[in-house]
Amino acid sequence: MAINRKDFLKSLGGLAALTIIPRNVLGGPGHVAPNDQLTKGIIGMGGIGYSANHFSSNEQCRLVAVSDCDDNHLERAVRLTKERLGEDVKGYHLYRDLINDPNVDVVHIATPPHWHGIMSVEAAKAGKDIWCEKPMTRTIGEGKRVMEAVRQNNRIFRLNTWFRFQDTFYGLGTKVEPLKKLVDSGELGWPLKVTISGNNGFPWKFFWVGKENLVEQPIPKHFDYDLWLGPAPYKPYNEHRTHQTFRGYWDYDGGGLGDMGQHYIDPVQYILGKDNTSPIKVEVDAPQQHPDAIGIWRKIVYTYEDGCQIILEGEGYETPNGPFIEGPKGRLYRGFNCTIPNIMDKLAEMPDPEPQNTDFIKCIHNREKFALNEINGFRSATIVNMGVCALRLNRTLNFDPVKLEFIGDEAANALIDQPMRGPWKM
Amino acid sequence: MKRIFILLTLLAVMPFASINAQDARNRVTSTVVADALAQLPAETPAKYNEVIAELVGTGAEGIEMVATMLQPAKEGVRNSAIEYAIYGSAAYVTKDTAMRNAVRQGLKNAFTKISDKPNKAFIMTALEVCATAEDAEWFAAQLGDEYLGNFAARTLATLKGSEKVVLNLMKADKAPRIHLAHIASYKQIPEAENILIHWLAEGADDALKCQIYNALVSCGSSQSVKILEKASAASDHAFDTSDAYGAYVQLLNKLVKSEPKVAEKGAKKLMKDDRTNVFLAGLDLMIQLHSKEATPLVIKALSGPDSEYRYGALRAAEAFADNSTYAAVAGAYEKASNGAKVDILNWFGANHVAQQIDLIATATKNANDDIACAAITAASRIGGDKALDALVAKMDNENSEAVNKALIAGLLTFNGKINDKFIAAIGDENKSIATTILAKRRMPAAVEKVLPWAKAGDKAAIAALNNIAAEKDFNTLCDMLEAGQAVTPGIIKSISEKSAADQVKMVQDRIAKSSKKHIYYPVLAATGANEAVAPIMEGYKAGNVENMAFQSMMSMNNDALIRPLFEVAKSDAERKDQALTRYIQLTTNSKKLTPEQKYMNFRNALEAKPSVKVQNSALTALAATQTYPAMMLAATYMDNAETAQAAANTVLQIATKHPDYYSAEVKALLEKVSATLNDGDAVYKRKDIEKFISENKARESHSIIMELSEEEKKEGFEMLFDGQNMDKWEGNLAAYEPIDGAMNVNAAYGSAGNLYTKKEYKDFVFRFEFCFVRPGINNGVGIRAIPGKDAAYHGMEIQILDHDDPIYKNLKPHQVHGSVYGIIPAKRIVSPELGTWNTEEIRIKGDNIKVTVNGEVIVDGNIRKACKGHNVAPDGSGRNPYTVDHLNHPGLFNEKGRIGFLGHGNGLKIRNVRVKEL
Repeated sequence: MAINRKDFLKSLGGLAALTIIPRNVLGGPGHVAPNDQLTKGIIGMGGIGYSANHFSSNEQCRLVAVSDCDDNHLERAVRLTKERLGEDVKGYHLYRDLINDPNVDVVHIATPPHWHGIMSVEAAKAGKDIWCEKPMTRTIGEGKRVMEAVRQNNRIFRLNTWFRFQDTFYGLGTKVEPLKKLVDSGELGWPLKVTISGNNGFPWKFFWVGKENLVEQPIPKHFDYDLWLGPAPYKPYNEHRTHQTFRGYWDYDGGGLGDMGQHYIDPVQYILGKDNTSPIKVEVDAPQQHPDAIGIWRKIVYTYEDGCQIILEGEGYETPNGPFIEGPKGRLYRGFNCTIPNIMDKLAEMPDPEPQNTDFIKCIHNREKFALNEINGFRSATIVNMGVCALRLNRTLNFDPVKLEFIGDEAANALIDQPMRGPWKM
Repeated sequence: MKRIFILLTLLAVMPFASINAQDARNRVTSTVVADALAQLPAETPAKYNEVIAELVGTGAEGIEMVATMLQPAKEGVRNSAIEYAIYGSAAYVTKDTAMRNAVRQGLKNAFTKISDKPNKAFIMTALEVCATAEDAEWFAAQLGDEYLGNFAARTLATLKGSEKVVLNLMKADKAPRIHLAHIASYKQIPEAENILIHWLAEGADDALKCQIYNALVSCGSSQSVKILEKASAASDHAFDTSDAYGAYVQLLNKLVKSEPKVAEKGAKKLMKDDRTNVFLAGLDLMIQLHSKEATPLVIKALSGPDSEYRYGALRAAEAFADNSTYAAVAGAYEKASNGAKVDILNWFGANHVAQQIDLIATATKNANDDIACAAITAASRIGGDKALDALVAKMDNENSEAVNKALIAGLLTFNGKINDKFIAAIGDENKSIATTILAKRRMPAAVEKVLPWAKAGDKAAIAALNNIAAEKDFNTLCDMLEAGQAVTPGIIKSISEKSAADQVKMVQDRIAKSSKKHIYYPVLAATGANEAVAPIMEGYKAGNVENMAFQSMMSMNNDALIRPLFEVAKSDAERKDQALTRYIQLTTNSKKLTPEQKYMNFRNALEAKPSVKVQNSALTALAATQTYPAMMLAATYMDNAETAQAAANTVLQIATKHPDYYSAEVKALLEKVSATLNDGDAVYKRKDIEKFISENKARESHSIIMELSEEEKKEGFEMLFDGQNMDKWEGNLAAYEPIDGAMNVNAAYGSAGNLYTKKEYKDFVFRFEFCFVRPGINNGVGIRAIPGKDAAYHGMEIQILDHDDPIYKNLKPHQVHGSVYGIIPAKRIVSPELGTWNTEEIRIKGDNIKVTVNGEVIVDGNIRKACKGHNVAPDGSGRNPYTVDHLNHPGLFNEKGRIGFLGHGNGLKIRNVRVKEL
């Protein structure tokens, strides 16, 4: 390093800074991370945070802290880190203590979605970089605040779904790169209608259904239910609200749409080149939804200003409803079956899509935006949340992609900016 | 069932409606409410609109009635229908002022009448949806409640127009400060600032501090800046539970427009902090304040210690950056550290700064790999001649592996066409880069460059050639093929633009001259042409050299191969599975074969006894034929565990598409399918089967005919409904469908779902059996009724009602099951369990009436005595003090009339209906 931070800061004039500590040496006694190795802390050790992909240490990034408001999850995580990784990690009951731990560079948020917004904003204020599981936030309003806090504090934010740059996009049975190329080539014409689903419709719509008429149960001693609820309205404890089944309740998530919607929708936003905008209309075909417990639905149709559409096909499990992209000049079916002759040769003459920054660790070091970040991640999460609002109100909604609000629908806009249960506040 | 007297607005149509209005269907509020609850949750948005419109039409009274039905949660309590109704109504009325007021009032009325806290909270949550500023006081009154306070705060926080109420509460200091500060943090109430500051001075814990700090963000001015700055500095501008730092930054952001000097002072202080994110938060403010004028700060930051610092500043500058900014940044490039150079190049690339392409082009030559790679990537993102020149020039260098990797990625993703310059630059020194790119990027003009390498056997070059070959290269490639090189894909590609017939001709010409005819079969196969079939088949028969002919049969798309493939399967055991797999594929894809021919082919495949895998392919393929024999054939494979899944799916896919095939036999098959399926979609498939069977019940030829018992025959009973024959009935026959020996009532809610005997009866014994198939059933037996008139008042109605369902919580005694509606209450029985059959007898002679259910007498009375002879009010008014329901029953003393079922919603079954005249 050519210049040390102390001298540099002095050169900015004015007050001399007090203690100047370079990144990665920030922190108190016991901080032992080698110079270029990053450190991470995971919040939420129940499901995803506990999965092998994330619950790991390597040369680039070391796990140093975990947090969970269920003491059983926390104890298990601390014990297994010792057994499997040979690491002594800090275990925190309160996530804020993890965020404030100076040994932590990257905060990995693996909690239910009703926490994603608050934790992302707090991590940004604390100067941490952020890895956040999908869906990005539970409301459109929280997403706006996350974007603002990440910008203000200039953090690197990764939303964790990856099909826009990696792996076979199971929405269409092929990688996204050739799809992007095909769409950009104009061979299909414009506007495009993208029906996304597995080969069996959008099967996730049937998953994560909540239960009505829940009866209060005693709160387990090891579980801090009040903290788990956090910003969500207080409701009598029933274990079905929490842990493995929380996705079935509007207070915490959006059912199968919340769980898997962003996986399916985000690549389509990218393919259509809509990363800076949103649809202007959402229509739902669904039974009326219970105010607390999420139910199933049949179909959701999103329409953009230029006529492009995303259709989450709900009905049927046979080929005609299978995933496809349709334009005025042709159709592309699952597995890159295209109605346009010699399409592969035509695409082979074109440049590949602009490269994306897909190495999160590299982005943290060089500070370039990650491929799926707080801005395009917000846009695809907004599509999920538009669907959630339309389902909850059982009606068609019109949306303004610039003002980021619904047009002429007070109740829908109230769902954009939902107040939090005090004292939680973003 | 009952109807009458509502508060709708269409009043005064009916002569006897002297109180209030009533709806066109004469339904009382409790009936509308019960109907709505029985129909919720609505299956579609349209149905939702319809049902909720009716419900909110009952006004405050109906909404209150629904909401007071909420019971404390415990096992067996079903509040859900009520919750659908309440929340659904609240969301529905946000677009209708009049109805909105009624719903608000109804919810507030109910709130005071129930005591369970979670239910009260639920009502508050619903009211929040449709609340107006007028409700602010009401919510404020709940703030002090330990359980409900949070819910009240939630609503007050977002309720538009609640500011004054909130400020008064703050002044009076009567509600918990933590709630008030929380609410204030969502509001802009300038007058609250001093109060909040005062509270801080009085002492606050971290939780309250956090709320107050955030409230100062929304309500505060420069006065608060000082307080927040001090608090933030006290925690070293680190995030902590008081959130002083976060609030401080937010307030400065808020003041950018109104108090720029204050914001700037704060920003400068933040920029001196040792935390990079704090510095950047300050810089972000300066950029908002000064836009382009802040450029020097960004330039200065380029000499910062790390990328987080430098690139962070550059990224912040994106808010205003234009060509002058880019020029300024470029001006700092030469003196920048290597790390900063990389940051600058990355930033130029990310922002497509074409203006700086000269700088970037030069940087591609930098000896430092990080700089060179960043420059290459940036040049590729930006595109244009200069960028391409720089990349192409780089091809001639001896690069490190990292640079070559960046160069290949850069050329493949280059923003524009690279062909001419790239091809011109190809040479032995960059063979590896060139062939890697050509294997992905199709450039026929590059063939000449690649050929020498390919001929020399270079594998990467052959891969490239196979991607880029064109028609002119056909013979060259054929020569190479004969020389043993793997260029078949290149040959196919070279002629792919020509017609299939021309392609065959070109290949045939080569074959004629060749001693190794078999190596051309894959090329022939790729043409798909009819003319190609015969030579390939000949090749197969002539010894199938190197298996080339068979492989070609397997890859070729042409119906003419279907039969030969089957022949191969029969004669060549080793190739049976492969051949049949292709046979099934081609049959499936054929546009010429009829569904019946396809069915035959699949049957042939199955009968050839291939492996289980192939059997399953054939079974799956059968589904597309959509024929009856295909369904029946597949069904025979459901017993073998290894083929059961494919078979069951095929049966499912044919049977449920063909109501015309439906029969008891198909029903049994579908039930077997349900039991068999175990894949991930089985749940939905079972649902579909269930739905299909219920929709097609009538097609089952089950006929259950009931006959009078010997005893009843002797007594002179007459069969009115024997399970099938509806000849003795008239009225809404469609709503009483005879299925499986019972009338299945599917009358619409709130409509005239009435069925009447054709004959009139005076004194009689009426016997029938009934069964509730869903909760909340509401129907009734009309006696001495007149079609078109409401039997409850013009005649009598004996209630049929699932009165224990919670939706009937507010029922009156004269409305329970068996009651002579409004005249004689019945003894309340326990509602029959769903799905059970129950007997009922109604005996009427003159004014005496007796109702017996399951052997128990629940009514035994005299209708004239019950109202002291006054079926209508003696004073001629609408209020009759003599009847239990205080209404007029002008037809109570009808001498005779029809017997009827007075339908109201679906889910009731009736059978074995008999009558004996007395």
